[in-house]
Amino acid sequence: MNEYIPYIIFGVTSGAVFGISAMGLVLTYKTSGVFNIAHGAVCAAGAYVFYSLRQQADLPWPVAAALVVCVFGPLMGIVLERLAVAFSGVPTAFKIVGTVGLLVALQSLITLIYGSTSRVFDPFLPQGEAFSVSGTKVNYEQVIILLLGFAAAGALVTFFRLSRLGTAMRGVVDDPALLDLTGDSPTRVRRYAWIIGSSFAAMSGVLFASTQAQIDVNVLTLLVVQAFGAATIARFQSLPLCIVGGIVVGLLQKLVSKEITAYPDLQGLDLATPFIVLFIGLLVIPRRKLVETGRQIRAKAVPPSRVPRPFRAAGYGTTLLVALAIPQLWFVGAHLPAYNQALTQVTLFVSLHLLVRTSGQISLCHFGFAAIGAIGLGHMQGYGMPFALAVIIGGLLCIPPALLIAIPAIRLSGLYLALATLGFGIMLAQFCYGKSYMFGFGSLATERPAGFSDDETYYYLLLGVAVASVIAVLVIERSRLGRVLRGLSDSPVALQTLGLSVNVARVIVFCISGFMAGISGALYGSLFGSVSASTFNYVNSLVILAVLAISGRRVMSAAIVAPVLLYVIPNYIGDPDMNTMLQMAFGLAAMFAAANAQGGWDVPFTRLAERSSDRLRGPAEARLRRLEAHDGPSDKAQPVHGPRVPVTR
Amino acid sequence: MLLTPAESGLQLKDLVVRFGGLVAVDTVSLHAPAARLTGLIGPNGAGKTTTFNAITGLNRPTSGHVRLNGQDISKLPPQARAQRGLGRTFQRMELFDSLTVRENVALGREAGMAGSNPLRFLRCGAAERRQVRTAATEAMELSGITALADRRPADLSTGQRRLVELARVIASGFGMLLLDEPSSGLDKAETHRFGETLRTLVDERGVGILCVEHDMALVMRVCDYIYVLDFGKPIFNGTASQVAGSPIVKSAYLGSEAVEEALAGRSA
Repeated sequence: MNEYIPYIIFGVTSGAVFGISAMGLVLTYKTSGVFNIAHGAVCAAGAYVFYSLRQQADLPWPVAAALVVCVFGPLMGIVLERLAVAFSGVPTAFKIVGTVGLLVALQSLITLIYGSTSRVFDPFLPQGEAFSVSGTKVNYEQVIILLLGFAAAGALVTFFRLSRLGTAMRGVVDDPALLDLTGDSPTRVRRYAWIIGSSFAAMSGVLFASTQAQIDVNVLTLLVVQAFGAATIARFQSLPLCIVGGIVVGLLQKLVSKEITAYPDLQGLDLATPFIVLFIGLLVIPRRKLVETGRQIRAKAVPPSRVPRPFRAAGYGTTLLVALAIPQLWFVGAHLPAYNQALTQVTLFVSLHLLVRTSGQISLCHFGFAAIGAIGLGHMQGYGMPFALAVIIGGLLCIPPALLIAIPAIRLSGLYLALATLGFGIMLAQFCYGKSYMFGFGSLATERPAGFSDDETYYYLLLGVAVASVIAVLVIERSRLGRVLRGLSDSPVALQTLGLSVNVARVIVFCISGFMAGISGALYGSLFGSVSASTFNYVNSLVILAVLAISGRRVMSAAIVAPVLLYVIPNYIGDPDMNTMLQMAFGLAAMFAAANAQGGWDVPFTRLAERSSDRLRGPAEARLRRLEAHDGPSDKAQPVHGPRVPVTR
Repeated sequence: MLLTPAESGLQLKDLVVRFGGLVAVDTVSLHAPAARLTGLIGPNGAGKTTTFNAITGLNRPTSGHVRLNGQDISKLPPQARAQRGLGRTFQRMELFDSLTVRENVALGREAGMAGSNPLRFLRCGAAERRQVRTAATEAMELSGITALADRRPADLSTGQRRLVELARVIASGFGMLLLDEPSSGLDKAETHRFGETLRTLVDERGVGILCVEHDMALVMRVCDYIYVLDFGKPIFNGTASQVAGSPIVKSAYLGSEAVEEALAGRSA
């Protein structure tokens, strides 16, 4: 028994940190209906600010801690509250895209300032022995963190039960307008919630860095998944259960890490524990307990193209001609490999388009499917299989995991589906990538097909595959399946009452999309001669979603704009810092696109113009205009009121 | 299958739906036979839409049975009930806004064909395609929306959208239709035409219809038999003139002038 004690102590302490983080997350989600996927990035930002203040500016730690928790956190909260308001009027999928954009932007910003390598983070809390349990010493730091966790939970619960603001916070979620009538400003209430939430995030970031004795942006951003595990146990609702959930997850993680030392095959399972809790939780929590918070808004349909058909055809033809001429063009030259990379990603982007835009599902693990495709290619080539067959097997290997992801998709939609897929992607990266059946510790050899070792000849083969996959998606969109998928996105309930099994539709779309992503991954892997875990970083799943969001609403734009943005342009820029900046721009643009998802690109400009004309014309005129706008026929999507009708049973 | 008249169509037996402590539908029994237009009326909050949701399987009744043509469908999921010929429209219309009106109506038929067989999602033969096209064209003609075929539902008025939803369930070929406030948002001429459409469906195609409706004049004009709910409880049932003469119904609708007028007009 004694050998477990150190693990229990560590588990409980780190669990308290997860709990604090989860409380901040759940609090902001409950009050604004926007689930902040970038919560971990906020934690990381807090830790880095603390690091700068203490280790670079040499401030004493209590001052640095006070500045981070009481100044940085609240400032961040105020900004995030504004963002949450911008995201509140869009469908869940775009709320997710928006916060994913925030994550990408924040992570790039931190990388830009501090670099991507981890730095030593000197512990600041007293390390002396407080007491010992059966010979294992417990230091002051651990005691303080645990007490802090419980104190924070206790304070929040008391605040919610007893204070007027706390009651108002509970009201703001249900009906902001009603709260407004009772004399509490919803904006003020939400702002406080985000301030508390961000301060908690900053605090947990600092404590986590301290327990790790190092600071690393990627690790800290991952902190959020541990918090997701804790939040799942709290059913994304209960604050006190967050801290309990945090400790359960922390304990499980450490105990698993103890048990698996004897089994090298299970290595990495401890890191995946919070995810497993998340995934299982989403599968077993009764669905009525997982109702999304806030108004549910239906996505506005993409209007039919206004470009006449002959012009469109001419446009496609010209694009194809340019694509055929690319290897010969003067500005390409040594950049040709980047064009090849972009071509392999066309298949990935159109598959994601089919899943997200056409059928209204969401996947935050699409790059994970690509990884499985590349792994399939590598292993099959290892057995001496010819290239084409190996690529197809790579795609087929994605179907079982796609089926696995379709299980939560059947039960859940929107936010919870996104969380399940994010967790799946991270588990794949943390637990599976390192195994010999995947990439192994080193790299996995992948080869190009015979006769295509030259970049230029390979370009034409890849172009052929890219064009074929675009045509495949276009054909699907025009077929019965396409109509069913668009129907699935618009109104699953209507489809069901017409006699169609929406679950079958979901399974089909996940399988098709996963298969195509696998093909894309296999081709992508073949470019490099060998692939390793770092080729398929899970963060890319988030980046590609952000890029898809800013690449227009149709298949053709997803197929052309997105790969160029993600591969060709960075290659011309070359400078790594500039490319981090570009990634940040993708994140910011995705946030912008998400906030304006229900209108066109012109919406913010129209709003700006209206506001300035209001200022010129005076308040009475402005009110008149607003009244007219309010009473007139609204073309905005209508919010769905009342309890959500369950879609499946 | 030979059905006795008592078995045909839709039957509810002692249906109860509870949400926590609230009894939204309290022991409702009714019979909506085939080739008959049955009305279900009641003031706001009487539990009409909840009853519809329970019949179509979108929420789970606490107790009671739903029978369709003599077969108990209480335990089936919504799509299986639809496959057995039970269709519905929604009070808050559930249209496919990214499809054209024609595609919406056609999907009404295609969804039933695809059912839960993955292969039939992916491919369909020429004969089937023809069948879908004919069904869609007929349904649009019957509901009077042929001129709107290539528009998007999002661009249409509420009344037109209602008609698109109606055309969609007509195209599906359901034997039993539940219509949830199908005439709200229609203008006078449209409402009149709509009444005729319903009668055509019932009299010529033998479809059974159970219809929740607030337009009392329309209900009194077209319904063969009427059930009245109030606070989840059935308070009266009878033919149009019986309902119009009933003091119980009058008191349930007390204060609602339009309804009182319609009732008075009918009983006079």
